Order: sequence, then C-alpha cells, then structure tokens
Amino acid sequence: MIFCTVGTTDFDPLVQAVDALAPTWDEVVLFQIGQGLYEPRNGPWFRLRPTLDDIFAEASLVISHAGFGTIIEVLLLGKPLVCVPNPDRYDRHQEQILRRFAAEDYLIACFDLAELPQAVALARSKPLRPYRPPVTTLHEEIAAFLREAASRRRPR
Amino acid sequence: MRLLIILGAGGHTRQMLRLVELLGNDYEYHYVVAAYDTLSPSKIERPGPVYRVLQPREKRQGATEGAMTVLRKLPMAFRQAARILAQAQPDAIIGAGPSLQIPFAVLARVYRIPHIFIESASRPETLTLTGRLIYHLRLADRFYVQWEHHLTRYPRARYAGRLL
Repeated sequence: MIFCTVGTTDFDPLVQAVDALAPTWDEVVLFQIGQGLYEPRNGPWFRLRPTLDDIFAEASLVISHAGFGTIIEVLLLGKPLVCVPNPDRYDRHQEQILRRFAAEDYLIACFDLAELPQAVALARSKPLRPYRPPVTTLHEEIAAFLREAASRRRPR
Repeated sequence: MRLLIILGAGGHTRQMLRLVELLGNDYEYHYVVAAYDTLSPSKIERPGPVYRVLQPREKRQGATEGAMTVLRKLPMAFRQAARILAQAQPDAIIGAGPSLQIPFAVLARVYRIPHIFIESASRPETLTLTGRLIYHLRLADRFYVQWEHHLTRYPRARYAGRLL
C-alpha cells in the first residue's frame, strides 16, 4: 500500500497529482486528505484519524507534505518517503527542513509535482539513510536550569 | 516540580514529547495543545492534565495577515493562558515554539515563572516569527535553537543539540 498524507490542513494539488498517478502503480493508494476539497477517485480516502502510526507501519511507501511531525514519524518507522512542500503554508517554511533532510539522504524531496513519478521511482530504488533521533544534551541543561530555579525559590 | 509543557501541534508536539521522554520521571507534567489538533493528546506517554487552547494564528496566512489576526485574537489568547496558569500553577513553562506560546511567555514574565523557549528544529534557515518575537523582547529565561549556526545571528541563544 502507498499512503498519501497531507496533515491537518489541506494540500489538494498533491492529492490530485497522486490520484492521477495511482492507476499507473501496482499497489493500492490510500489517501489522508485533511480539510481538502478534492476527493480522490482512484483509491480509498479519509480526512483525519487520531493516529496514523498503524497505516505508516503498513505502507510500503509514503508520499507526504513536508510537515516536520509527519517527516519524523515516517522516518522513525524506516519507511521510504517522498516529500512535497506545501506552498500554502505560511512563509513556505516547509522547504527549509526538506532541503536539509534531502541533502542528508533521509528522504526524497519533490519540489515540482510534475516530477512526482520520478521521485516515487527513486524512493523505491535508492537506499535511503536510516534516521535516528540526534544526540542532545538539551534535557540535561534544562534539568540543571530547573534545579537552579527551584533552589532560588525555596528560601521564600 | 510541575512543568507546563506547551505542545502546540504537529512537529512542535513531537519535539516536546521527545524532551519529556528525555527529562523522565522527575517532574509532574501538564500539557497545552492547540484545540484544532486532535492528534497531539493521543501521543502523550507520560500522562497529565491537558489544556486545550484556540490557536492565535491560522497557519495558512502570510506574516502580515497573521499579525493582524494575532492582534484581534490577542485578548482571548491571554485570557485562556491566564486561566490555564491559574489552574496548573506550574513551576516552569517549556515549549517548542508554537505561536500559542506567546501569551504564556508574556504572563510568565508577569508572574515570574521560569520560561524556556526552544525554537523548532524544523527551521534550519530562519527562525519562526514567534521565535524572533520571544528573542527580541526577551520573553524567555532560556532561548534554545536546535541548529548551531543560528548562534551567529542570535548570540543570546543557546544550543545543546537537536531533539529530532
């Protein structure tokens, strides 16, 4: 199963493009369309679900908007991912993380929907780098800050 | 020690839940989520009270339109934040930079509650509008960026790695 997901807002151009390509692929395409107006004709679809984890786990490939939450969720499950930035989102910030992660080979970025077939073919053939949560000491710094804040408050 | 964790929605939530996982059992957690995000609460693994707030800014708008909406909805956003702070009585506030963190940041100054702002890792090139506002108005006791090169433009920020 190929899973196409757009997050909680809408991304009709992506849904439309994937719907048009669906008959050319040998797998069922499942769509999550959020608040989109376009309803796919070539595969089952739904708007939102409390969790997509089980669907991600079942999918052989995910085609998604470039929301950071979605990207991380899919990469942690080790699924091939084709990501298309949603130009409607404010200040087009989705392109930033996409460029960065594509440069590191975690996923395939597709900046032009006309190139989606090639991007999907690439995601299926090219071995992508497994994603691991980065090493951080942020929690240790924060714990130290909180200890200090608590000790400052105690004398009161 | 009670922490008010500003989840927001989507990627902000993911990052904060990773931080909560790393911070572990030493704290009591209360959570703030955007009302429109029905997904975030289901992902919480260390349970605690969940407060829902209306998002001050609709995500689809550009920066200028966004600013107008923020101004119009500001009184409501502050009332919601004040109510939540009164209920939760947190010892500190931590969030990964959704816009709904702004009123909490202002009230944290008023009530002298320690406030940590973590700029979203989803922004390797430019900081969010919320991040820039919090930084320049000094509305956080700690301001973290998750990409080291931001430190050159924002020298008062700190860097300690990336959550995701």
